[in-house]
This record gives sequence, C-alpha cells and structure tokens, in this order.
Amino acid sequence: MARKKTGAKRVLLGLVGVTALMGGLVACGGDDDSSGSGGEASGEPIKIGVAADLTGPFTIYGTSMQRSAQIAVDEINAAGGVLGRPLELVVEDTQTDVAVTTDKARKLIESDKVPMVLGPIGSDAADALFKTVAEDGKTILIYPETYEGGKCHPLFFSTGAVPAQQIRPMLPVLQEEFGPKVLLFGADYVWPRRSFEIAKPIIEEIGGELVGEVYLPLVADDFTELVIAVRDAQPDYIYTLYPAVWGAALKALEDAGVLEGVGIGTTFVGDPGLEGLSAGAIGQYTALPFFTTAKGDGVADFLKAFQAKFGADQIPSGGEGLGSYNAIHLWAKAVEKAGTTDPAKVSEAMVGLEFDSPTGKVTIEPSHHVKQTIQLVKVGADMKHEFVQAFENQPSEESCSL
Amino acid sequence: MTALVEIREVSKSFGGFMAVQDVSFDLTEGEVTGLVGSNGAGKTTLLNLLYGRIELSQGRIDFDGADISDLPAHQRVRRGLGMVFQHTTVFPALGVRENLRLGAMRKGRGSDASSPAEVDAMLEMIGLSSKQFDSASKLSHGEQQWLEIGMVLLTKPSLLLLDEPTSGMTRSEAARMAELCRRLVAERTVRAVVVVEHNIDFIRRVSNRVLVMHRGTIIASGTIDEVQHDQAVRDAFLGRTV
Amino acid sequence: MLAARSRAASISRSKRVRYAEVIIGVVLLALPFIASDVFLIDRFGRYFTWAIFAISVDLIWGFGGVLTFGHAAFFGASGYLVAIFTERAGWFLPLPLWPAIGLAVLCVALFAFLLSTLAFRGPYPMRGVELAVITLAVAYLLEQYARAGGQVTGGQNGILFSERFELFGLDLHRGRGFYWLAGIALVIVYVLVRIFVSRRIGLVVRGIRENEDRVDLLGYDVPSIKIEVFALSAAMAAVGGAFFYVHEGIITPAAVGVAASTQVLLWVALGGRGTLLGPIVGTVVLQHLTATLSGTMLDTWIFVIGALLILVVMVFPAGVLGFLDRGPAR
Repeated sequence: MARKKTGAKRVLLGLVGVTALMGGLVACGGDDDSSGSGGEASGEPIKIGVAADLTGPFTIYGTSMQRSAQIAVDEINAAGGVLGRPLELVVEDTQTDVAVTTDKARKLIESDKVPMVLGPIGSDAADALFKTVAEDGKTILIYPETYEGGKCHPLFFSTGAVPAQQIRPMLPVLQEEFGPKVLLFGADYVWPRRSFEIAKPIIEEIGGELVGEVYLPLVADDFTELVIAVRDAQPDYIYTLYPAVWGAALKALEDAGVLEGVGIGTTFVGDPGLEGLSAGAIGQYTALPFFTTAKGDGVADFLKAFQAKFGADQIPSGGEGLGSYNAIHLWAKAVEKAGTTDPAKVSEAMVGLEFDSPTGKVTIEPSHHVKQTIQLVKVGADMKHEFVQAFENQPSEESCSL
Repeated sequence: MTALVEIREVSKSFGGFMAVQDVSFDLTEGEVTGLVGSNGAGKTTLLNLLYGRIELSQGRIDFDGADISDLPAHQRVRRGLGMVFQHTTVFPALGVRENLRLGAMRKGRGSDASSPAEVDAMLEMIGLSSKQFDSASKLSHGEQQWLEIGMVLLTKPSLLLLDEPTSGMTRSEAARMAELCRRLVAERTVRAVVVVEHNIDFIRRVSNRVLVMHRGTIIASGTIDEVQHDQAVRDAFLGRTV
Repeated sequence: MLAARSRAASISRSKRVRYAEVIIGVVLLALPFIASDVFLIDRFGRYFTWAIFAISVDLIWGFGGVLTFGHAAFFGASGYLVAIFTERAGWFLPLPLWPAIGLAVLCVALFAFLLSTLAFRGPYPMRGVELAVITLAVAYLLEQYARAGGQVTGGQNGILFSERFELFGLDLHRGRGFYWLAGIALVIVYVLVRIFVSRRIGLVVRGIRENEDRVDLLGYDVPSIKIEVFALSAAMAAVGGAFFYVHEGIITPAAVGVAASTQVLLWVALGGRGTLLGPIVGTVVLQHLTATLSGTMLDTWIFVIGALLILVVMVFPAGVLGFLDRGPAR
C-alpha cells in the first residue's frame, strides 16, 4: 500500500535528517560573528564581546548600545586601532532573557575568548553577568547602563550613571522651583530602593523634607495607593524611579487631579521614554548622562556619526548609548596604556583614566565607576526634552574600594 | 425472581421541560428488555439517568438491592453496569487489542483476571482477531461497534445497556448482534440487558419484554406483539404521525 | 494468514522506539568525545535539563492529553525553592544542595497534587481549554509573586546561587562534568517515564487522552489517574528546573512565567507528542538552532527559525519523530 511505503520512507528520512542536523550543528557549534569594519588598522583583530538585547522588550536599549559601540570602534580603527590592531565586535543577541544572557556571556568568554564584554541592559541580567564574569576571572565586564550601584569587583567597571551622581545635581533644582517637600515613588526592587536610600541623606543636606515613600510592583495596573499617598502628603515634588510603566502611573496621578503644581524628577526617562507619556509629563525633569539636546562639544558630531551610519531618525538612548561609546574608548585607551589586552593589567590601567566624551570629561574612579557629566533636561510643551543644565565631573560616590 | 434494577417514579426536567416523567419499572434477571419510542420520547434521557450521566430530578434507582441514585457513573460501572454508546466510542489512536485490554484490565474487577487468553477469546467472538494490531481508527463503523461491545463485555457487567446497537450494521451483522444478546443472557454471562432501538425487527428477535416510551412516560409494556396491538401505542406512533 | 499480513505491514511500534533510542543514545554518548569546544558541551548539558522539562510536558500532554500553558511554573518554582533552601537562613535553612533539590521536587509535586485535585475533582471539574487557562493563570500569579517577593524571592533581581554541582569530589558544574550529570539525569527520567507509560497504567492514560468519558465509563477512577500523572509530570519538570537553575547560577521572575511555558509546547509538538524521544530531539535541535543562529544572523534569526518551524509542521505534522507513535500497536 502506497501510504505505508511513504510512512517507512519518512521514518528513515526523519532519523537521518535529525542525526545529520545534530551532527552538523555540533561541528559548526562554536560559531564566530563579527560585525565591524576593518578601518585602517591592520593585523589580527582584537575582539570585544557585546551582550545586547536585540530582541524582546529592551530592543531599543540593546540596539542603541550595540550601535554606539560600533561608532566608537569605527573611530578607533580609523585612527589606527589599538596596539596597531583593529577592534572587532562580537555581538550576541541576549533576547532580554536572563538565561540567554548568561549563556551568551559564557559563549563570548569561553568560546570566543574575548578579553572584554560590554553589556547588559537589565539589572537582573547584570547580576547574572557579574556573577559569570566574577566566577570566570578572566574577562573584564563593562556595564554601560544606569543602575543602582554597589557592584564591586576588580574586573567590573561601570560607565553608566549611578544614583548619587544623578540625584545630587537634580534635587536642588526641583526644590528651588517647587519647594522642599518631596515624595519618593519607585518600583519595588533594588534599583529604586537603593536610589532612595541614597537620596534621603541628600534631601536632608539641602534642607528638604521627606513626606512620603511609596513602592509598587514593577508592572502594576492599580495606582490607588500612590494617588492616595500624593493626595494626603501633598508634596512639592515627586522623585520617581518607576521604569517600566511610568506612563500609566503618571496618567493615574493626572486623572486623580493630584498633580496640580507638583513637580516631577526622574533618573530614568531617556528620549525614547517620552513616547506615550501624557501631558502631565510637561515640566518633568530628568537627570541622565545623555540626551539628543545635551550640551557638550562632541554631541553634535556624535549624533551626526550615529545618524549617518544608522539612519536620520535614529538616536542613541539616554544612558547606555553614551555609556557604551565611552566604555569602548576607555578600554581601548587602557589597553594602549597597559600594552596588552590581559584583563588584570588592563583593569589596573583603567583606574584614573580620562576620556573626552561628547558631553565632557569622563574619569574612571578607583571605585571602578565613572565621574562624568550629568545632563539635566525638562519636558517642554512640545513633549520633547529641553536642555536645562549640564553638571560636569559628578562623582559616583560609590564606596567600592579595590 | 428478584428485580436486578428497580426504577421508581423517576423524573428528569431540563429547565421547564420534562424529558422523563414519573417512570417506574423493574428489570428482572435473565431478561432482555427493549426500549422503544420515537425520537424525543425520552429513551436516551432514561438511559443516561440509568447509567449516571445525568442526575435524577426525582425518584430513585436501585441496583442489586442498593440505591444508586446518587452514584456517579464510574461507580455504577464498578458495581456492574456496562454501557455501549450509539455514537461509537472507542480509542481511535490505540490498537484494537489495546482497546480490549482497557476493558479487561479495569481496576476493581481484579486486574489479575485480565489474561491474554480472555482478550484472545473476545477477539474471536467479535471477529477482529486478524486486525488486533491495527489502529482502531482504521476499522469500519460496524467493526468499531463490535469492538466497543467486546471492550464492555470484558468488564464483566451484570447489566448491559445498549444504545442503538445496530445503527450502521448490515442485516447479517444485526442478526449476529441479536444472537449475541440472547446468548449473553441465556448463558448468564450478563444478568440483564436493556436495548434502546429503532429497529423493531431486532427488538422482536432479541427481547422478552418491550417498554414503549412516548413524551417522557411509558405508555405500554409487554411482549412485542402485545405492545404492537396496544391502542395507546397505535395512537401514539405506530399508526398515526404525531 | 491475515494476521501475518498485519504483522508484516511495517516495523512494530516498540521496535521503532528501540532503534530510535539506540541511534539517539549513540549520538549523545559520542558528542563529548567528538566536540572539543567545552562551552558547546556545557550548552548541551543545558539542553538536557530542558529536555527533562519537555518529557514532563509530553507525559501530561502527549500521553495524557491534558494541555497546560503553565508548566514552566513547576520548572521555575523548583529553581526558586532550591535557591531559597540553599541561600536563605532561618529554621532549618540553609540546606546542602542535594537535599535542597530533593525537598524542592517534593514541594512542587505536592503543589501540583493539590492544584490538580482542585482542577479535576473540585466543585467545577475542568477540562481542555478551561484547565489550560487555569495553568496559565497559575504561572502568571507565580511570576507576579516572584517579582513582589522581596526578601524571600529576591524580587525583580531574583536570587544568585552559590552552590555548585559536586559529587564524590568531582566538579560537575560546568563543561563535560555537567554534560554527564545532566545526561544521566535525563536518561533516568526518560527510563522512569518510559516504564510508566508501558505498564497498564500507561495504557489507561493514553485511553484518557483518546476518550476520557469512555475510560470513565469502563469503571476507572479517571480523576485519580489524571492527578497522579499531573503530579508525576510536575515532579519531573521540577527535577529539570533544579538542575537548570543551579547550573545557571541565577533565577529571576521570568523563569516561572508564561513565555517559558509556551516555548516547551513547541519543542514537544515539533519533536512528536507522545513519543518521549521526539521532545528530547525537538528541544535539543530547536534550542541549539536558536542559540547558534541568534549569534550569526543577528537581524534575521527570528525569521529563519519561524520559517523552519512552519516547514517542519508541513512535512511532519505529527512531529519529526511522530512516526514513533503511529503504526501497529504491540
């Protein structure tokens, strides 16, 4: 019977196909990816691993990180590379998934044997990567994203912003404009919690008054608790760190009518984060290392290079874009100074290094975090960020001692 | 002879509609009882009430001296009820032999009792020995009917309920089925049988007694001849259209 | 004579399974000796823990016919429990690794037992879509709890493991060591489940998948059997989860969520439901493809995988190894 014959053929086909596929995958398993341009440097390329969320909820940030890194690599290669060799990025998509991030990081370290890994975005992924790198002991990790601080390891560096350096310049401005009474509102996890712990003594120092502290789940749909707290405490301004669904929280506050005359300060809303925010966001302040309206000698060139390569409507996002760019440059400089890519030596060479980033000088502190320029912006009536002030050389105030 | 099953003033209403109304009768050991009536007369509902698919609105059912009115279906089956459905329910992706084994293995009937020999004998009886390793989905509808009967018989039921067993069968198959029913009761393999059927010829061959249902009640009971001559029955559906 | 023809038509089901087992077994046995990239071998170890998860889903879905959208709840909850038992202090905690794993699996099985008792025997017995939605809700709720769990679950950032896999002084935490550890765990789980489904109870479970009412009406206590299988399946998933997350070193709320649950259905369906071997192959192949393509084809890997999935479904509607479940039943 014809039907049974096809059945038997399928059996064979299936088994052979599967075996061949698996065998083939094993053989080609350790793959190799490069997406960099050779530039004018020559010789065996130096590879840098990039663990970026190119798919999933953090696509915008991961893409921004990868692209900004690429711009930096292009510049360095055009200027002769590092130790005469071109830089090359090995990019892995970590899919906004912690398990994937760990897997890719291990691949970069053990299979591609990169001396430095740049990334990730989310702080849970950062914990995972930090652990992987610390365990491994052979690779430098540079985390370019704004985070809560507190990580301390000889091979770990942060080029993102940390709470103290954002809060210290911002709060006095808010207090000046709105008044001394502040309510803290954050998502219930380590980044907002630690930021607020750091904020409290600063509030006291500048003569402010803490009138409330509210935590809600990262993705909440009911903001009643927040609304009631604001209504009862009647703050002059709210300092908020609610990164996932701030738009919904804002709307709830607006609708309840409790935002009249109340200022808002954030340490997380970059340019892409403005999308979808309601009119209540007008007048909202944010302190981050980078915006398209940031002031700095190199900002226009940086934007130009970015848009020339990736499209006229593309922008690097608020923190990790510049953070990645700076990370690559700083690391390259350290390698030149140390004369080798050996992570231990490069790590030593990185401390104290300075770099003229597009927004101002960036210095790597002994804490392995950076002293950098923080930009303060305000949301204008056109729902775009307007430049307010740039604060140069803001120290991280991190207490990591190595 | 004591009644195997006693049905007392049993009623079932769906919303306001009385599908079965105040039905009482006995099922005696050694009898094959036919249950006939036009569509919508309540035969299927009565059967469903008997085996426990739906709950009684009123009345009670005794089986082997015990009140089973509140028992769920699978408990009734364990006490000795066997049900063969009109729309064949076998296990399509399983083999023919596997289907039968499911009947033979049934817990509570002593799983040690399910010997391969029993299954072999049943395969012979239902005529599917040559197809025992085929998948049940490959059988014809009639063959699946037989398979289902075989499966149920292997659970050694005391009371066998058959819902339209000859639907989809050829005349010779129906004759075989009738023969099987009579033998089951005569050889005491099964203590009593209830058959719901439209095929009056089959009913005549098989049953000692016939119950005629119309609009939820039993309007006549007796041998097929008695019932066919009953005025009420004639009025109801044998002669005139309702 | 007729019987002989029926027998000769094609290879019997159990023989096919044997052949497939041997082939797959040989490939997996040979792998660590063929491949020199230790990282790759370690990756396969991970695939094995996922394969254990896939087997657990095949048991309840492929064999039992019960669709579940929330099985990752068991996979991830086990990880969380192991983390809590080994990292937190108080009462009898912290526990050493292996007792913690044992206890975690037990807790998950108990939870599944209670949940399925409610679902199958409770006031509103659930089937089909209703049950699938309930499992979805459970996974979702667990994820929310994990996020909000503060000190216990580590909230958004989860918990880091400090324990490593060690047995008899051997470090089995990475590379070849982990490959063998996970591989052996996979073989044990496979054998246990294979024995389970080839006994009488296995036949009844398959019957329930085909026609639950009929099984009920043959006198079997169907809810009991479903509960038993569900709890067993959850326990298997918990085993896989424990191995996976200890190896990862970190567990975060996404672990117990909905996304992970639905992915496994794909591995099982593509590999071949009800074949046990199919899900193993499906998991390993799909995960490996995803891992390698998302490195080499940064912009397009997702489309390639999608196209591949569609192709497979068209050529092998019952799954790549679906033929293992068809054919004459011995």
